[in-house]
Amino acid sequence: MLEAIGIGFRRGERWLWRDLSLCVAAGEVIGIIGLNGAGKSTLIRCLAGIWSPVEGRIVRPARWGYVPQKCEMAFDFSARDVVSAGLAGRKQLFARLTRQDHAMIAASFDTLGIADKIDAPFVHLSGGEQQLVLIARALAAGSTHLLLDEPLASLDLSRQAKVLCLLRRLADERGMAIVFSTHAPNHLLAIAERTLIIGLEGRPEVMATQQAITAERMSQLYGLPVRISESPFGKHVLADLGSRSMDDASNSGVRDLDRGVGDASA
Amino acid sequence: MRNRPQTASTRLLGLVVIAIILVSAFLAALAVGRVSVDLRDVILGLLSTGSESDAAAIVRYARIPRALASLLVGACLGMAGAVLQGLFRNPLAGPQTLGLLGGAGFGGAFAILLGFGAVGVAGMAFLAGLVAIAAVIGVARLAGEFSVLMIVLAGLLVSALAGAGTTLVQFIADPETQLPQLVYWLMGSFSAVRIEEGMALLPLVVACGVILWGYGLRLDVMASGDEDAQAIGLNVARDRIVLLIVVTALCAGAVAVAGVIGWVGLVVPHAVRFMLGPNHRVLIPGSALLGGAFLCLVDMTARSATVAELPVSAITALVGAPLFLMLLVVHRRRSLVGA
Amino acid sequence: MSGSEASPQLVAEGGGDTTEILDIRGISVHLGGSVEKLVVLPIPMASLIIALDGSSSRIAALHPQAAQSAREGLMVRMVPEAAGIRSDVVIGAQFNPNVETLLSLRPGAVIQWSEPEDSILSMENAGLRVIALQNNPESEARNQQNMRIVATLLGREDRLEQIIALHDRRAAMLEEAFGSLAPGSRPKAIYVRADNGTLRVAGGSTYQNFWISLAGGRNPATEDGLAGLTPVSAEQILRWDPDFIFLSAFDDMLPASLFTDPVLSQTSAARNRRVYKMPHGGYRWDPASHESHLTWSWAAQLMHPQRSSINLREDVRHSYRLFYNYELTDQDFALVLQTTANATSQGYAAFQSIR
Repeated sequence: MLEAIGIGFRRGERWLWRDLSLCVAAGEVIGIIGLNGAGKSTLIRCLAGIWSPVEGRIVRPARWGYVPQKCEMAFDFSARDVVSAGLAGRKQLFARLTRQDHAMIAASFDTLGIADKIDAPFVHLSGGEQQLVLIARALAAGSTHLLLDEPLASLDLSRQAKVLCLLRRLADERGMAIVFSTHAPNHLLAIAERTLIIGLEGRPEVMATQQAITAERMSQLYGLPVRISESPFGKHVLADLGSRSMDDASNSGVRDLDRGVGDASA
Repeated sequence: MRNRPQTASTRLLGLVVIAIILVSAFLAALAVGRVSVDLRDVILGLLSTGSESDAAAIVRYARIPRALASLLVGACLGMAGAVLQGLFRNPLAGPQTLGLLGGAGFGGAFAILLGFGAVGVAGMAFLAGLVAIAAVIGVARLAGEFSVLMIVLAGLLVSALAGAGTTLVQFIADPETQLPQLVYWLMGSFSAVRIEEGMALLPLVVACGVILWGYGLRLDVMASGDEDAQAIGLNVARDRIVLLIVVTALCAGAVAVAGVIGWVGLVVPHAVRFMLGPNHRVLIPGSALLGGAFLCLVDMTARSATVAELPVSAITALVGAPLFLMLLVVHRRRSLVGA
Repeated sequence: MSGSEASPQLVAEGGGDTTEILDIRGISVHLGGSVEKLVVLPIPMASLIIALDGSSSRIAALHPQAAQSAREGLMVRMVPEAAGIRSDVVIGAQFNPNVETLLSLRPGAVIQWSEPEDSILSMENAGLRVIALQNNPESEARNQQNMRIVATLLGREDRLEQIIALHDRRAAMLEEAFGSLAPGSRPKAIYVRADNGTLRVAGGSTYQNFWISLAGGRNPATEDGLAGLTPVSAEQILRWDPDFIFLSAFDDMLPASLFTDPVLSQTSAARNRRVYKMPHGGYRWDPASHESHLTWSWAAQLMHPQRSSINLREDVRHSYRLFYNYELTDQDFALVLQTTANATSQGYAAFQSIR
């Protein structure tokens, strides 16, 4: 189980978030949403153990997998190498990858549907394919918990759908616990049972997605009028682009909403 | 991707090929020199006491010490370069560009000035090398970024400082007894190398090589970013310190034996990556073997091409720079071609 | 004063008012009256001043290397006070002057090598008078030029003429004996400096090359196009296969170690034990100095023992009497000639026998 108790992070004098508590159980998907710079990435990194929170503590499971937004690579490592790296981290110095390890690697590529890219140089893959490889890395290492930093940011619509379904399936079928951050509230409505909103007044609280994503809260967060509508595909968040608030600084909010799985009304 | 060996056995074959190149280079270095010798003398000089004939004595006492030392120094520099490039995720990293050779050179020069023996020179070179690499990291940290550019700039800075220190040492050195040796050594030279130095370097190369090879998988992880490495479960800080200490030991050994020789640590790992791919389990032994072959041939040229002895550094630069350029061009072309 | 245009001239000699010296750069240096206090930085020149002046009293300071050489060589016996002259006038161990110390000494003039120029500029800018001499004179003509400047400075031209006469006479004698020798009849000889394992050989444009030739030898390094002191491998020396090897007095290498070296022992020189350590008299005999005529004689005696009628012991005795007013003992002679180092070398006994 992954648990954060009363954690806070500060940049200089400014607190990004404070007194935040979070608990992810097996089979659960939690989404994190907020404006740019609100501290979503920071939170994911703290949960992953890359950075330490200024206050509070985090209890981590034995095997958690961190999936970054992108991977800076200077050399021609193949996708397979990138995924192998996930296993390498847990090995002793002189150990080699066993047949079992290689099987796990191959399986993770299959799971993500990119088996044909396994030997391609990582840097030659598209942004979306790279993202899938990074997820495969976490899977191959046998992670029980996945922490994903904006995994959908560089994906096209079809890939977004694919990944969202995949994450849900991993939670349902393998009982994995998943925490991911995103710009688009529609992603949360699609697969997350619970949601954490960062950047609103007061203490950030994790609550059921249906409760969290309300027209009121979304308007407050993004600073422009928002409606929740229902369709055969589920609930969607829509922004009213015709409003006067187009003129002020929250233009970016509009674009974020546009990225959701669903339509933005003109 | 064309030309990229994918299976473990292909890579192993590649390593074997490079090993064969190394052995050939070593034998060539024994056979070539200002005096002509024949194959029989080479074999006698190598396997026997060298007292059978004048030519065998030449092979044994004039050529073997240098061939062995240049081979081992090349291995040191090749491995050091490979690890530095992976560790800093920086294709421009190398023992020279990161100021490591400059620092070790200053330490060694200072030790020579103080009249230390071989062990003292190596020890001072090691300490100075550690300070140099710590300074590079410190400067980059101060500047707030560990980008490719910043690390190279920091390396330039440390190199410049070490160079100034070395100039000062030359200034103070006795012009009759110390200075000429110092200058020639700083340029990189195997002319004064004794067989004992090569024999002392051998265990260092083997021990460090084994350790670095053990870190091979972890270096692959680190090459894709510190953050990821940490999240994957590595103690990056600790691993980095261990690796840097080992690399510094290799560079100090190289500098103590032969002075400052540039370009080997920068170019050889790229050539090996070009042939065998970037995985460090293959890259590290490959760089050791190819670095050894390269420097062995360079020293052979330095002492045989002309009447006067040529400085080794000049040859490595003359060969290394165009080679680096060529590798860059081919790499670019490959990247543009696509998957 | 000789007639060459570059020779120093006393332009105006007043009743102690001003003198003017033309140094090797061709620059006229004005001096206030005759010079009583000199700082001499070029290392062999200290012993030249002593030879010209008969004492070291006019030397206010000299190079630390010269001080060391004086202590280690014969100078400490010949002119004991020379070993006590202060030498803290350079920064580091080369020829960078410590201008502050120099100024505090208030010397009449400072003698310095002409290169690097910066070292002279810093002194001139501080108001010191600098007389420049030619670095590494490559011939006897240059050597004499340097010596003339110093002699003019000291007002000892007459003494210099005696030294020059010695040199010219000996040079003429050697020219006559060996000048017409064809290269084929000349033994191959090289001059080697060994600095901690790196071997350097003197090629063209070196003084050593000059006297090898004068003394009836030929220098394969020059024939192969080398100039100055150049690093070479032991193999290259073997390839030249010299008949004679002269080891520099500046380093520690001994003839005996060449006889046992697996590679160098293969040379004709080593096989015939014709490897010699250069002598160290008032100063080391390697570079150009006032004692150089002795160097040539020594080399000629070794390379052509049959054709030479030189009595080196007498020559040294005579010269040192002239230069330093010193009576050379047999013991001194052995010290100068480094007979211990040359004990196993061929033909060295000839210097010992009394003729």
